[in-house]
Amino acid sequence: MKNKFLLIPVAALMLTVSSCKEDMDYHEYAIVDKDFVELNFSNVGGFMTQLYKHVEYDFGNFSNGAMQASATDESEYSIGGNAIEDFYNGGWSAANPKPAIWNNMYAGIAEANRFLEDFQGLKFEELELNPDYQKQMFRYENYKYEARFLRAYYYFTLVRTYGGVPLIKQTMPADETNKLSRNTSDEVYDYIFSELNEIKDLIIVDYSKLGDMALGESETGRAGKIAVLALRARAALYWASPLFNPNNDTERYKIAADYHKELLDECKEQGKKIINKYSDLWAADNFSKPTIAPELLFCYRYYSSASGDNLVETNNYPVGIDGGRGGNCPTQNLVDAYETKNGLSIKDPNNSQYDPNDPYKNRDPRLGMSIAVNGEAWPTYQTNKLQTFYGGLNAQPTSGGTTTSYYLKKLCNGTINLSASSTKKVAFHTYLNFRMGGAYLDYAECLFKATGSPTAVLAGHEMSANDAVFMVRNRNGVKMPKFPETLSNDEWWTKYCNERFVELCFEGHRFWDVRRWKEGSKYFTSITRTIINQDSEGNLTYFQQIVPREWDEKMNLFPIPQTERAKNPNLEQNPGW
Amino acid sequence: MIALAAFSMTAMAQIDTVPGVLSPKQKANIGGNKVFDLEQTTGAVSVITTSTLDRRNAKNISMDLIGQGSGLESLQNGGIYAVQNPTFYVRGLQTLNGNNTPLIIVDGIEREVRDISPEEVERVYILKDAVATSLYGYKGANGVISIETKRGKYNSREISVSYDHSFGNIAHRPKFVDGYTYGLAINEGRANDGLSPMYQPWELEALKEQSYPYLYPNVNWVDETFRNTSNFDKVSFQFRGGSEKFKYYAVANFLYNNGYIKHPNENQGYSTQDKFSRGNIRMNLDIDLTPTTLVKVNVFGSLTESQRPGDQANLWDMMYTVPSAAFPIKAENGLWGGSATWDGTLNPVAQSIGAAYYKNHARTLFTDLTIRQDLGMVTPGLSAQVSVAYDNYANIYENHSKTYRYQPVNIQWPAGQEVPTWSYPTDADGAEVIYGVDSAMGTGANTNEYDRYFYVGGSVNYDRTFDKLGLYTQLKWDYESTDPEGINNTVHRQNISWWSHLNYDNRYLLDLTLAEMGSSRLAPKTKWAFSPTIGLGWVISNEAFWSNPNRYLKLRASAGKINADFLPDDNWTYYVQQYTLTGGLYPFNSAFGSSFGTTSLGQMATLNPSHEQAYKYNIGIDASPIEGLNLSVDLFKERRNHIFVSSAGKYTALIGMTAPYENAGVVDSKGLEVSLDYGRTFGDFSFNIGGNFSYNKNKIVDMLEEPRLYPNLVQTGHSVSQIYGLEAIGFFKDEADIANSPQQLFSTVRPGDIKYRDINGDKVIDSNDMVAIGRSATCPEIYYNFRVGAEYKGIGIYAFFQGTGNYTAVLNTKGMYWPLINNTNISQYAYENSWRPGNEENALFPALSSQNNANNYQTSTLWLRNRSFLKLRNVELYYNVPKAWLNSTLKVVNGAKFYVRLVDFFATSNVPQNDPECYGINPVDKSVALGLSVTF
Repeated sequence: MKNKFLLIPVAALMLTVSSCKEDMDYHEYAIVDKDFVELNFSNVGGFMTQLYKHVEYDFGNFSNGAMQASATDESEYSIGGNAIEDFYNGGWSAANPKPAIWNNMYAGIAEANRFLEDFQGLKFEELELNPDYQKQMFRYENYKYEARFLRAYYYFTLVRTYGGVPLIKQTMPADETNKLSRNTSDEVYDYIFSELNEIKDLIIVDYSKLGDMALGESETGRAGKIAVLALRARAALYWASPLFNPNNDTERYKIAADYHKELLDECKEQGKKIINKYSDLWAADNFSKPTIAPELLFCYRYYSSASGDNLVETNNYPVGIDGGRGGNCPTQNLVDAYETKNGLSIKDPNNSQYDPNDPYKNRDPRLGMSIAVNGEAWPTYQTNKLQTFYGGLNAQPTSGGTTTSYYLKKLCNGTINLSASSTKKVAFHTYLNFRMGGAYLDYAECLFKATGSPTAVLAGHEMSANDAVFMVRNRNGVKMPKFPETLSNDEWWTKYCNERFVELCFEGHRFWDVRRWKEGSKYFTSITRTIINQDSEGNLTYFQQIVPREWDEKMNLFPIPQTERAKNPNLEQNPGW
Repeated sequence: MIALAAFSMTAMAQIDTVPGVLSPKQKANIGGNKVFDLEQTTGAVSVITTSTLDRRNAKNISMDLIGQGSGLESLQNGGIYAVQNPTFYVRGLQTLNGNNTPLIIVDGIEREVRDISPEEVERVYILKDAVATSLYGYKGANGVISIETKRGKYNSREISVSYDHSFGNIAHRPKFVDGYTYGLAINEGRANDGLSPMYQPWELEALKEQSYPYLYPNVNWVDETFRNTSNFDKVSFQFRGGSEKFKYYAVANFLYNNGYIKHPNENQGYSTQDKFSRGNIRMNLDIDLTPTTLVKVNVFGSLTESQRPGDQANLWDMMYTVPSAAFPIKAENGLWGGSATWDGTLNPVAQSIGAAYYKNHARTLFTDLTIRQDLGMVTPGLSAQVSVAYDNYANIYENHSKTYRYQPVNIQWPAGQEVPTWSYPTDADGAEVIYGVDSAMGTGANTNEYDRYFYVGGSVNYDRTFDKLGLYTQLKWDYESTDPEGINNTVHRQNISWWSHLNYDNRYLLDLTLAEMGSSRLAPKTKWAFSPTIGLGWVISNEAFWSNPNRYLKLRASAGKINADFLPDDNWTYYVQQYTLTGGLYPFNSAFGSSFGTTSLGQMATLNPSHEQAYKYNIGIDASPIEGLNLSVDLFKERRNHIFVSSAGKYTALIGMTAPYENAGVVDSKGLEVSLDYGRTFGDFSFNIGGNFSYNKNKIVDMLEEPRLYPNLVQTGHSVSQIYGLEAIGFFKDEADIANSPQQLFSTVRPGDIKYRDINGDKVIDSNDMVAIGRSATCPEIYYNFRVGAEYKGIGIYAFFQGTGNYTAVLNTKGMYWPLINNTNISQYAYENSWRPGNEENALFPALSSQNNANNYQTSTLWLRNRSFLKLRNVELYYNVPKAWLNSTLKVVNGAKFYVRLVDFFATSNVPQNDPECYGINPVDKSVALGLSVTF
């Protein structure tokens, strides 16, 4: 039979057909999907890494070497052409919207939402027999509170920047996000407060005191109860500030003051305090050293390698120093804000301690710790003295040389040597998001605004605004005198703002403080540079140069990016943009 | 240097012994089990036959195809011989995401053609429209290049032997400046950058006079590294014939190419030449097992060996990098030259001599078997067949590279000093340092590429004529799986197709295909897709009213939907929410460490995924208006939709992660093809002329483009590979000109820098002033070819030309057009044509820069050139020894042909100093070949 030739292949064919059906589903790749992530504690815990990494910090990463401070009267970035200039040269617009906060915070929110929705209630049954199972589960159960804290922090970062933004509280399909409109800023603050109120008593209080649940090194970098309270207090202060409180509802300041009291009480409970040495705040071991760590409440730990990094040094070391290229140079405005040791402003005509020909003598010790001036040896390892006079080694006209005659010391670790042969090129850096000094100053502002007096004590509280400021000024090694009780409210407020400017410089406050006070037209319309000339005999002469900057009230809030509005017309633009 | 010729005697070389490529009787194989003539088909098929194949001495069929066919754009690429292969497109670009490559098949199976020799190919079909691509499942959307190998002939025997020798020549040997001119150029560039000169006047003098050749050298690296010609030999034996129940075709082919390395034999025991050799054998058998059972077996195997100087170093790249004055070939102490700026590993002479060699051994096996059973005993016209194919490819590398020692020199020649002082670098203890190591030759060898392919298919066919109605129908199932090295690239596909061809009275034709296809690449529940296509034909010349039976006229039209399983970035998991487990850590721990990595959201899942779909429409006319003239015109239109594109342009950042792919891309394309073929014979004289012209144009209808800030940035509405750049409006004359012009934000500008137009009117020049400039640099819109052949008493000439239009070149080759920056070389052309005081009027290029100059090296109209060209692809002069004479004298010899060929010998071009197709660093060859072939 001729057909027999066909039988074999036909049979083979039938077999193949049946086997091929499964082939259509074949894939050799490991899909990293939900099931895969859920396999173990460390995959799930990895979400926390990602969420903490969205937290704001600024070591010059804000704009390609420039810190946000250089968009304020704190500093000027010495390398021309940086996009930071857009904030004050008219380049900032909805088409050039500086969208990093918008993008990063919503990325964090999407991740937090996904974690809080899809990765809850896991039992990790396969791991039950592991000896550390209970301890790992204990940590896992806390993740949701950390995630909610961080999500609230992202929303705070957003509302501070944009005012009301769309509140996305759960995962959402892409096409739905494209229809969202903006919530009001009050709604966003309400959400932040309600979230933080819910978790403040649920989250781990102190990660170094886990008792039976301790496992390996204590994870002191995580957010605990203090972090929650600190964020709530700061957010409340912003919510009460003029930018977000157009009706000047002083009740908001009272709430903020209460939140601060609760924070400071908890801090006291946990041994948090103002530490002795101001410049230790940004030391490499600030996150752990018992003489420093008590001031830090919740701070971003920047990580680039196991031995550390030199991001802020690379971005700020003077030109003329190995590896230095200039950077964020403190302005004369900031330098002038440092009082003399007697507590008087250098602008005070009665100030006998101030000598314009030796301007850095007798000054608030924090000046010397934060700002490098002509003639001082900086970075610390250097023995050569800085020459920031025109034509000097570390100065203009060399490209990147300081434009203000100053260099930044704060946040920098002066023992880091960036030269090729150096053995100390890196160190750890922890940014100062929330610390005791800031908390007291915030508290002082709340008390002052709530009571309308620097010296009054609010019911239920134990200190006046002036007392709270003095907590900061009275730091060992600073020891600046208390503000006189005789100051008028306006005088006190001016000195308070000045104190805040000085104490919290380069910690990411000035940019936002001036905006929430709506005082940009007072502070941000110019900066002052100092130009030092040296004659042939080495005599120095100081000139001041006022450099105008553009400011407009619309800049209190960022513009919503134009492309975002083109994609989603429901996103209303902020006024003026 | 032209040499010899050949005698061949095959029937295949005669220009008029096969039907013209446009003849209605020409075969048109669209992939079914029955092959109809062009007259019968309703699809758009371009046929390339042996009349034009194998006339380029090409190493493989794809190189041989360059320029040929209608609707096929084949674009030559440069590079060393072993890796040269063209890029193909059928009917231009039709989709996004770079998935424009047509399917290439050999005898019905998707196969790599790099080792298929031109000799073994009978025909190549370019399958273009819906009907012609309907049987290829998910793979046919971009058109198909279908290669059919030769088969035996019943009751005959034919043996032919041919031998070619050719001499290759680098078509455009780049000319770089000498050492002295380099010194002037770099000084000029540095002066423009505000830097001190690299060479002081007395050092320039030394470069000019060559007074210290070890310190201030002048090396022509091109001439020192490469010789002028390469050699190529090819021998081929073909056996073709059969008996009554059996036919065979066999070929054994050997080729050898010896490259351009000038000094390959400086080492004991081995050569460092660029070499490529290949042996390949094919055997195609057709066996009539019984009167109703046919078995076809095709076996193809090849071995290739390619050798390159050590570490496969890219010597041509070094030409464009290392200037004449960089360092001497060898330092004074006899070690290879090198310098602090240009490391000795960039010394091309050293790399081509001192680094030993690296080899690749590739082996290919293509096997397939088909059994066809006539089932006429069941019902007349019924048959069934089964095919199986198993292919395998592997590459084994053998790394015998070594490193060598080289010697940089420190030179000081301050002002006032009589002679330069120099020293070898020293270490901290003052000992001289020699760079590099004179290592032993490496011994590494392993398999680094492999590809397995399996195919099985079966079909039932029915072929019968009822009175005036001819009916052919086949139901076919195919399964294939490919498994190359690496992961995420194993693919399984199935295809079930039902093709029917109806012919009523040779006047009315219908092709109808209904196909259902599945692919493992696609998301669950979307793996299967349906594809209907229909073709209609009307042979007007067969109508009763048609007066002249010798004149032919046919109209045809086709339409259909073809599916594609293209994925963007080969991302297979688009249908699930993805996570990423890579990234740094956050230092939670008290000692600034962490026991956790990062888990983050990856790309969002595509909701409701589907797959790319092509709606193809074609109408055509085939006609023979006068004797010997055939003419064919096709008009096509295509809409590609459901193309996977990123939706990042659609969604706001509120989604918080990478936007999903969506099936939202739409591209329209259209075009036409005109083909002519005219051949006549008058006594001893015969001639044939022919040509093809094709035009294609595409337009992006939707790509989910982000809302653009300015209309000039919008890409939707433009073609797929449109170039965007700035509009250059000259060079800045002086500082005043700069001050009076809008600020250019890329970098600080100075006189002699490129001045751009403020397209968007915002008073600054930045990337928002980009606009569509030029055309595509990827695929030309116009592609044409024409050929002329004539023969008189056995002496003949054949010439083949090919050209392009609407095609753009971007002159961005380092060293050649973008000199000096990033420590590169400078060509004589760039030096002469740069802006400098005194050369403002004639300058083609901006003032020289030694440092990266972001302003000048933007894509802009300044760097664009019209890339249209016309090339003389090949010309052949041949002599066929008269058969009568052969038969009477050399009785065993049936035919003999001698020929001389020039390949790629001439081109018109607007691309200065270089080949219009390959103007980068990889050169192309032109060659002269001599050959003979003899048939027994």
